[in-house]
Amino acid sequence: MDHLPRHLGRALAAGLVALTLAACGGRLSVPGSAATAAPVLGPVANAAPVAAPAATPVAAAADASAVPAASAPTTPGRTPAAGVPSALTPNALLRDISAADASLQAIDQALADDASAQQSEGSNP
Amino acid sequence: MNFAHHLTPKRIAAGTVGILVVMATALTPALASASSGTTATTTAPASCLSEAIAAKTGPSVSTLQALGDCAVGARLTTLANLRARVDATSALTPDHAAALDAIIESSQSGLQALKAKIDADTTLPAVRADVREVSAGYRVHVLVARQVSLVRADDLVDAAAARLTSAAGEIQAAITAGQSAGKDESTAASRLAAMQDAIAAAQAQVSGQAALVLALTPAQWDAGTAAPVLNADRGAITTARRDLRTASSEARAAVAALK
Repeated sequence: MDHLPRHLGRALAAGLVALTLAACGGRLSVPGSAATAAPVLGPVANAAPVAAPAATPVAAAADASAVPAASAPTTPGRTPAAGVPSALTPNALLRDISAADASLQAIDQALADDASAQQSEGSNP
Repeated sequence: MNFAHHLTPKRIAAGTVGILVVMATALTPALASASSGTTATTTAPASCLSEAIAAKTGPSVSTLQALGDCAVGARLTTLANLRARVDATSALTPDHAAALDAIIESSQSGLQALKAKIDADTTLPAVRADVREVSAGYRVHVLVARQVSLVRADDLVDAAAARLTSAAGEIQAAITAGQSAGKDESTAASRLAAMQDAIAAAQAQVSGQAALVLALTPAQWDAGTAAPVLNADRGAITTARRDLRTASSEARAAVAALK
């Protein structure tokens, strides 16, 4: 029982730390921030046309252009990985292609949103 | 101080429950959005169906005001969600993002003023006209929402094309290096050319489309001249998307063909 205050103190301190972190997490989740990229791209919780269910989660896709650009193809001093053609930087290349694919997913989502808006014509303009 | 004396099991339990409740309250929005993938930025309004039925079966200033307020609320929620999408799309050019923001903000302020007008109406004809204006004056769902979606898509096409152009540069460098080493890179070069053609075709499809879409107004929608512009852009984006998929596929084929 003599140790109870110390244990409880530690437990309460841990709880307060967790609470603080949780509160910080909530504050960070403001619209438009990177932290909320995923939610705002999902289906809009609304009966309005833009509420159409998202076909796929495209959080990464929306910010595809935020991915750092690949280095220029003629950057000197690069060392190609073993087994790949010289002058080719697989990581940069794959990053570019992946970013493009992510943008394609985001385009799909935008077109789905547009289709939902179209459906509201005549019923909920 | 003897803490143990004050910390009875009952008090400990109560304190623990209190902490857990506060933590759960703080975490719930994040957990909800993470699990469902839906936005937590706004609360979805209830459908205006009950208000519409009440206004239809018992038209009065108060029932029409309720319908108008609900309709305005639904549109303000839609606009907030559209704004969040604009903010989350880094592919949008600054000009396009600013133009979309201006459209959204103008609609928001106009609808808020209209709501105040509806709430102050005292006659049936006046409130009826103002409620009609909620949709006719702003066309949030059929025009603004489409402007946001299509302009986002236009700029995403350009963003994807830019990334593929960068990839094409990498592949070209590899082909050049291979040829310098005496290798036959004709297949890779052919694939690269097809990739570049597809990228150019995608860019040409959406070139100038966003400006046309951004210039549309609710009056043009009512006149029937906005929908063709919106649909043309949608068609262009659909074609550009196909071109970009071709380009992406050709990029992979070119890499695979490198010696």
